[in-house]
Order: sequence, then C-alpha cells, then structure tokens
Amino acid sequence: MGHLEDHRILPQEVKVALSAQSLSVKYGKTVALEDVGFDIPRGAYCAVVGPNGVGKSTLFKCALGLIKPAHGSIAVLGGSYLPKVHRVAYIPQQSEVDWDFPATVFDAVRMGIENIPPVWSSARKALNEQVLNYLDRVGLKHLSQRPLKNLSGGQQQRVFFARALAQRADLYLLDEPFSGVDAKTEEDLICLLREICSLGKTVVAIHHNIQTVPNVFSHVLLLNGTVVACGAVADVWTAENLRTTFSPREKRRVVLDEFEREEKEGLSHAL
Amino acid sequence: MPFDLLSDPVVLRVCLTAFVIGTLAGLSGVFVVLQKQSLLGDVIAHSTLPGICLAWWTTHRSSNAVLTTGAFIAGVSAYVFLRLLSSRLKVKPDAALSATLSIFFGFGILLLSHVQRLPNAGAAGLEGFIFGNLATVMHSDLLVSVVLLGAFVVFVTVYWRRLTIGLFDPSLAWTRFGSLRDAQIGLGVFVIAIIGCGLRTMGALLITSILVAPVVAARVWNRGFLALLILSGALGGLSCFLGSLWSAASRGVPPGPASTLVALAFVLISLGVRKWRESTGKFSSSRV
Repeated sequence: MGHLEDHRILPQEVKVALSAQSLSVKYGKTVALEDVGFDIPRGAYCAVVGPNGVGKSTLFKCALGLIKPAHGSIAVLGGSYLPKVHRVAYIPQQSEVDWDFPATVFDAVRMGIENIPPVWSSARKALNEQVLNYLDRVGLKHLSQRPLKNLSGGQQQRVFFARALAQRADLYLLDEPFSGVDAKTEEDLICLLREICSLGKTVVAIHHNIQTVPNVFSHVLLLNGTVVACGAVADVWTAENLRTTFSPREKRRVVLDEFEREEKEGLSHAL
Repeated sequence: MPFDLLSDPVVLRVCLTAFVIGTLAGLSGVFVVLQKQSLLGDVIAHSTLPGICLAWWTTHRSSNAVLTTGAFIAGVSAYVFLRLLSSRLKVKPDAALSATLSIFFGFGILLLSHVQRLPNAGAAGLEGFIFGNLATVMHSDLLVSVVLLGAFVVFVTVYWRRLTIGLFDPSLAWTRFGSLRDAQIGLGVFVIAIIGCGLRTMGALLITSILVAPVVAARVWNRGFLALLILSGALGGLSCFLGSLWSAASRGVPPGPASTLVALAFVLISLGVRKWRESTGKFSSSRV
C-alpha cells in the first residue's frame, strides 16, 4: 500500500485546507451565503455551527463544485476543487442515500476505492483485504456481507466512515455525521476522526450539538448567512459569538431550507 | 403441448425475439426502478402513440421501420418534454410524469380515432402497437433486438461504476466522476430504444410492466447488484418467451397481456416466498 500512497502525499506547502474569499451563493433571488470569508488550517478538526437554513450544506456543495458561487471563490487544499477531486471525501446526510440499494456493506465500502483491479488479477485479493481492514477500523468487519438495508443508523454511519477511509482523502467534509447515531458510535467515530487529523488530514463537520463542540473539535466556523467567527475553539467559542450566530436574521433564511430541499429533489430525479 | 409449437421456425423466431426484448426490459428496468422512476417507462411507452399515428398518417405505410421511427421520435420528445418540465419549470416529478403522459397519450388517442375513420384505412394494423402483435415479427426484429442487447451490455459494462455508485449515492458519484449526465442520457436513450423495439411484440400498453415486474420479483431473491441485474434480465426474458408461446398457442390472446400475466406470476411467487421467509424469521424485510 505504501508505494501507492507516495504520489498522493499532499505537499507540505499546503497549509490551508479549506478557504473562502468573499463568497456569495444565490438560489434565484434568495441569498444563501453572503460575503463569506474564512481559512481552515490543515490538520484542523473543525465544526461548522449555525442555525438551520444558513447555508451550511450549501457551503459544502459549493466546495465540491456542485453549486456555482455568484461571487467570490472557495479553495480546496490550496486550489480549485476539480483537480483535487480524489483528495476530498464527502459524507452526505444519511437521508440523501438510497439505503434500499441492493449491495452489501463490503460493496459499499469498495465504492470508495479509486481504482479497482479486474477480477482476474492478483491485486484483487489485496484490495479485498484492504476493504476488510477499513471495515475493521470502524468495527464492522463481522457485518461485511450484510445487506445495507438491514443496518441501524449507527451502522450506516460507520459504513460511510469506512468508505471515506477507503477514499484516502486529505480533506473530509461531513454533513451532520453524528445525527441519528447512538452514543457508542458517536464516541468511536470522534476518536477515529481525531486519529485522521493527527495524520495531517483535515476534518470539517457540520455539527448541531453545541454542547459537545469544545470537547470534540479544535476549530470552529460559526455561520449565520455570513461568517460570524472562525478560528481555534479557545479563541472564538464565546457566548457573545454564539448569541450572534443564533440570533434571528431576516425571513429569507427560513425560505432557504425549502430551496435546498427542492435542489436536492431536482438532483435525484435528474433522469 | 404448447412447447411443440417451437419446432415451427416462425414461432421459434417470434419467441426468441420476445425473449431478447424481455431480457432488455428486465435489465434496463433495474436502473429505472432503483432510480425511483418506475413510471418513466409507462410515460414513454404511452407517449409513442401520437408518433405511431402521425407516422402512418403522413406515409400511409404500416411497415415496422416507419412506425418504429415515429414511435422513437415521439418517445424522445416526451422524454425531453419531461426533463424540461422538471428541471426548467421545477414541476414536481410525479406531476411532470403524469402531465407528460396525459398530454401525449391524449393527443395520440385523438390522432388514432381520426386516422381510423379515414377512408380506405389500413390503420387497423395500428392496434398491434397497442396490445402487441406477433404476426408481424420478422427476422430484422430479432436482429435489431440482439444488437440492442449487445450494445446495452457494453454500455452498462463501460459505465458500471458510475451507474452503480450514482444509484446508491449521487454525491459520491459526483466527487468521483464529475457529471453523470452522459450516463443518464445514455440510459434514457436506451430505455426509449428498448421500448420502441418492444412495441411491436409486446404493445405500448404493457411493455412497461415487463420493465418493472421482473425487477420487483428479482429484488426478493438477492443482495448484490450484479445478481439482481442478471436475475431480473432472466425473468424478463422468460416472461416474454412464455407469454409469446401462450399467445401463439391460443390464437387471440395478445402477447403483451400474456407476458404481463407470466411476469405477475413471478412477482406473486417471489413475494409469497418473502412472506414465508419473514414468518420463519430468517430475513428482515425491506420495501421492494
């Protein structure tokens, strides 16, 4: 596995994992994000916190290039997203995925692997070992042949994490990774992410449980249509900032949820 | 015995054609159903009617090539219309499907009744396109459907990862492959072509049941996507084969309804087995 890793090592010069400059995003006439600017340093374990419908998911979709910004730019690992596709692992909300899809846990994790050798080559066996390894790291090795539809919410999230590990990314974008997940799973996954960060990789997670932020994350991005604060938890996690983040803004924010849902439906019914 | 009929080369040819078309429908149906677009086939098949009528009206010829071309053009227009409704005008998917179906089919019925009242109307043959008609199946039909099957297998193999990942998690497909437009448009064109190709044998009204029923039956039996694909194709092929044989043996039973009934039998058997397995507690259930 070592020789495969080599050409993928992210150059040391890249110090910023995710950054935005005067970024604005609009859905029709509704402004989702306005003049957003921040830098999330490499190796950060960063929470994105803000009320519903302030464009947290929009921010991720923008980073992935799924949505074009109206103004400004967003940089992924020091550049535009597209050449860096293989360095980014995105875990969507669980509801965005078809869990009725006929596949086993093993199949789902294998989807994360970039190049799959043909069935007849000897590399195939090594690949299967690798997939089982990733499953072992999230504690699902014993369920590798279980159909996806027979998993609990916590197990589904573990599958997502194993798949993200298989992508061997440098930046992990997680959309509410701990919602609908049991306490034990949450604890395990938090440890796993911490381990990932210690390897110089970056985790950015949309997070709703503000009680746990200071204990879990190293950095935080407070979002309320625009950036309230961004930085190390020790510096920006203040009552004042939180109050600003969660104070009600104009009515348009509420409408936004509806827009995002429609966008999503549009995507899944694209055929 | 109806199987004795197979020694007749004409019946054999007809049944083989039906088998290939059924296999195609079963295979492509997997993608349609998993995309939660089960009604798509229905809409496209019904929407071919105005194309068939117009093709006959303008040329006054009921040859396969002319009518199938008309059907194909109408199917593509319906598909484009559907996509415009849902992507540009933001009409909800179910409303867009039902609007497309009623507009095109309504227009088709209007044309059909007009065409049938024309003097010296040889338009009677058009009915074969609605319920299916085995008498007109020719060597070229078998050839075309075999070529289409080969092309579809190549298409699915080439786009295998895009299609499977895209069905499970569109966002992963996007981060891995970028836009899925090629694969989706390719799939749409294949579905239209498969429906167009099956119209003559199975009929516009019931070709879509062969698109959906084998998938529903096959989903009960297995866990992997490849296995589902193979089983669904096989069940689709078998349904149409047996249905055509039944139709050939009985004189008067059109092949579309006959094949649909066979497919329905597969569905009922599968669901029955699932119910039985659930009651013995071996597997947990899932929606089909």
